[in-house]
Amino acid sequence: MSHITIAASSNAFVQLFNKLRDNFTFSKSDAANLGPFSASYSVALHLGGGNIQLNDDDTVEVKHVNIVWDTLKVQVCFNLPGLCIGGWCIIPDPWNGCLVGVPKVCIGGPICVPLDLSGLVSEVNDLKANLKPVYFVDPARLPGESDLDAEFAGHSNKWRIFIDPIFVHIDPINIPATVANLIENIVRDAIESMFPILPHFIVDALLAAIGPILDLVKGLLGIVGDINNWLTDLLMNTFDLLGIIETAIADYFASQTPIYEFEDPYPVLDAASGLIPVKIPIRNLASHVNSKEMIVTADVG
Amino acid sequence: MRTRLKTTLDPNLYTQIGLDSGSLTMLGTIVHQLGEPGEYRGALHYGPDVKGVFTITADSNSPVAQATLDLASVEKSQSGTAAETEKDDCCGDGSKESGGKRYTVNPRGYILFHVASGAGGYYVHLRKIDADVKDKGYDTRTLNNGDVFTAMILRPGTYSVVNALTKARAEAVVHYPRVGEKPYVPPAPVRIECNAKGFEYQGRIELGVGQGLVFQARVPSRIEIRLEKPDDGPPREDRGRTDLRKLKLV
Repeated sequence: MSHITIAASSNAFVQLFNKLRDNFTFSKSDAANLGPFSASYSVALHLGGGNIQLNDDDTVEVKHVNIVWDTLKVQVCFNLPGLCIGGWCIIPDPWNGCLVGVPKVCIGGPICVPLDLSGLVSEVNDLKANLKPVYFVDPARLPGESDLDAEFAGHSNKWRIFIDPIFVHIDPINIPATVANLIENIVRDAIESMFPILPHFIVDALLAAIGPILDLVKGLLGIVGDINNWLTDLLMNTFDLLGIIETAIADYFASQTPIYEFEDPYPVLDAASGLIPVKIPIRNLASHVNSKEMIVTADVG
Repeated sequence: MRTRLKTTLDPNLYTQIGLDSGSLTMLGTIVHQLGEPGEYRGALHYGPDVKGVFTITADSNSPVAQATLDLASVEKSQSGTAAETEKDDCCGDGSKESGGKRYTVNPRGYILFHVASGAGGYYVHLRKIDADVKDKGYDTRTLNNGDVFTAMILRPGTYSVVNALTKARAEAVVHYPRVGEKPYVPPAPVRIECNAKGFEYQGRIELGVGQGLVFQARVPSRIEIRLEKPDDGPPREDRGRTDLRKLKLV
């Protein structure tokens, strides 16, 4: 039988988890050349809400945690073909070719479409985990330093209890269909600002040559289906943000931030009246859950 | 965040309204056949100034059917900015030597004069090196029988088309572009023969933006295309402009 048994009610455990969840932040940016176009993104997110449940099979299950995308900026750049004039034959070859042709001139160029989708919310659909105690040796602790000196220096070793995910499932972000209008407006605005101080005949010629802007963009980027679904696929699968965020969440819970930690040796009495503090060493720490509480057991020695 | 379409588009493409075969600009070309083998010396003129010289070898053994001469490049190569010159001289190699660029073409092939960039306004004088002193050579200000002048018009509106040498006249209308269900592609060029009777074309010439006009000279010609009445398209509330740049008429 263990020398020490500590329990935290499920309510207390939820409070501990909420604090842990609220401290999670993630940010990343990346760019890639994807053949006919290039794309880049910059994201920053935090977690909020959700339900946590303690199970009798020694697992913790977290559902429907919001992923709040504080920053979600995507930029897609491609070459707008525009209006091409010339290129036709002046004097045909009697054998079906062309002897003399007019040089071709195209009015177009590279264009970048920046999309700011910050504020969208997606979800950690399901996270199931065990509790995992890990002994932490403070790397700042000097060799030969006593436990007392380490405490005074703020380098005490610790027993840490982590939520160790068995699996993490997050839902892909649901980019609204209105992003298509946003893209259309940005491209049109870019073309209109190309000739800021001239009459609009060139702009209108260019818009006419492009035709329906969304059809053009979808054709250039090779999009089959809706542009919002394509954008979701670009972020979640091509850039693998889905996997990256799942890994970041799993890593955060499993090894970066414990849900609770105990100092070792554990302080029993503070220093007082010229006496040094009283501390007891802890070994064999174990942590479990059932549907009612979290139970931590340990031995002294 | 405002996105701008970056482009290296030469503004002369849309600021120069109107064309003149005797003063080549970016939207016009002249096609000429040398006919006889030999060495030809060319001089690039801008008004009274000679901006550059070049040599064309009409070689009966040459497989080259088209030598493309970018007149802007010829001027640049002479003004010491050869690094800026473009290497688009198809078929004729346009190699540079003392005395200017050198091109080679079959005498039954064609020389295409065009202006790839800049304001242009050039004409060319070609003369066989060993020609008789009485032979004044060829001057692009007067298109010969067999020469072709091509023009493309971007500015919508009504244009007068005049052969300055025969006084033949025609009217061309470039329709304002409309955004449709399909992307607009300029239609095939309209071909017009310039003969002693005038322009061999029935009625008003109807064109789309950027559509080509091909004038085939059968008599000495100089084609001048001038904007008579611009078409600025339908009025739009979001397009009130008070700071329009004055357009340069050629």
